[in-house]
Amino acid sequence: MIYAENILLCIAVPLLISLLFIRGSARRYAAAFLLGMLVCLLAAYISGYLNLVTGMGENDAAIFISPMVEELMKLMPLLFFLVMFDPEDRTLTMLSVAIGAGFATYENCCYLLTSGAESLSYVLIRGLAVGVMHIVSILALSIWFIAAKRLRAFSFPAVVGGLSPAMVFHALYNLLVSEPGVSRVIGYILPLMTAAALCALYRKLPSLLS
Amino acid sequence: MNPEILLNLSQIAVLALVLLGTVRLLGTAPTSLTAAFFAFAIAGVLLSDLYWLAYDLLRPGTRMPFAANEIGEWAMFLLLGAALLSRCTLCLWEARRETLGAAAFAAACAALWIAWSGEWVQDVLTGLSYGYLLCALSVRAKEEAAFFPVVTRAFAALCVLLIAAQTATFFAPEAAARALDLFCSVLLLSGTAAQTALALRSLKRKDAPGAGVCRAFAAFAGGVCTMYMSSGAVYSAALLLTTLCFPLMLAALAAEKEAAA
Repeated sequence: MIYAENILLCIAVPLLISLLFIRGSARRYAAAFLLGMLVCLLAAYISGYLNLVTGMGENDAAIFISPMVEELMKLMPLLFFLVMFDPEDRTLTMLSVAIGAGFATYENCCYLLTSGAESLSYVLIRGLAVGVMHIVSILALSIWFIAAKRLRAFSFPAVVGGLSPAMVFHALYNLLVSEPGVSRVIGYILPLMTAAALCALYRKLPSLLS
Repeated sequence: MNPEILLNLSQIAVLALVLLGTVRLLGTAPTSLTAAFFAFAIAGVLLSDLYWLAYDLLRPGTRMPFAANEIGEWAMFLLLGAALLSRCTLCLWEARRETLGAAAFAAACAALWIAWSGEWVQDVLTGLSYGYLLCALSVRAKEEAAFFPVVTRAFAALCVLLIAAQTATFFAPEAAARALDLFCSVLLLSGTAAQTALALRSLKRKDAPGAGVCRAFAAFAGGVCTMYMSSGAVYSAALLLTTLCFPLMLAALAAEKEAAA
């Protein structure tokens, strides 16, 4: 048992204070990072509740429930920024990365407090796999939103269509790492490979949509 | 290896190639929106297939509960519908008769799925998203005059017959229900095969590109309906036909892009 709210407070307060002294994109990044941590806590509440209601085990809930809840929760602030402020493409990408990084950081903190941080190799794997996975899934979503915005196709099917690959990607990662052996190795490599592919796609996006 | 896994693997390979082909369609202004929707739909199906494959290999013999891949299927229907409507100028009201027919068929299908599985939420949401695809297809098909009236009427009659026969299986005695089930399977498969042949012929003869797109998407929608309403060998045959429909849809969209350029 960990006190997740207390951990959030402890990490969030210095960041909140720092918001008073920074301006521009750095401030936006820090605010989105905080928001990412907050939605992680809310997602944990919702997943926990659904886990109780459905009676699934912890492992099954991580594979079937958490990906849907977590990706939906990460989408909310991104959608809010997009609809309310209509940010530039670069700002949207930056905000999405910050939300993903905040989410992953807070999740990793809670995980390390629960399971311990003795094994450096495991901690590194956790950081490179889960950390990258949360960033990759929301970055893919923001790239799709940028494309949809440029093509003037921002609609309900576009939002659901962008959200679903993020959810399935997350669920696939959780499923692969849930079993020991080759599948777990593939699962750990998957986010890094996808990050490389997304990086290439993001660079080519202007030429693809011009 | 389980034949279903083999079929799934082949679909994954086809989808990966189709996704690469779709990226080439991006860029030309009039069709890039359609291509973008199609590309994301294909990416969603590809990921859903990979998820299903991973689940089947890691947890063989266990029933998959409600999972993210089902959201992937709903998104695929919505995105394919949006892809069809992106090049359509006709509004729903102007094709109200066709849209109502499509919505009624989707509602009847959803009712049958609920009766079979008892999974209300999933089947209602699947029915809604599938209905959106069918409505979009019927509006676009009307605009493009993709099917002769006699073909449209024949498909409508087949749909009514199918729903009636499937409903009758719940009330008929066991032997009659089995015969009706077989009849429905034959009806579904032959309907999908006919639609696929129509789409292939239209591509070969280089008919109007918009009509070709509608025919390819109609074949896919038929294949999905067959998959959702069957099991065993019929399901595998429908999966094969649906796999064939992905490159067909890509080829139809490529022909449309060529015509628009």
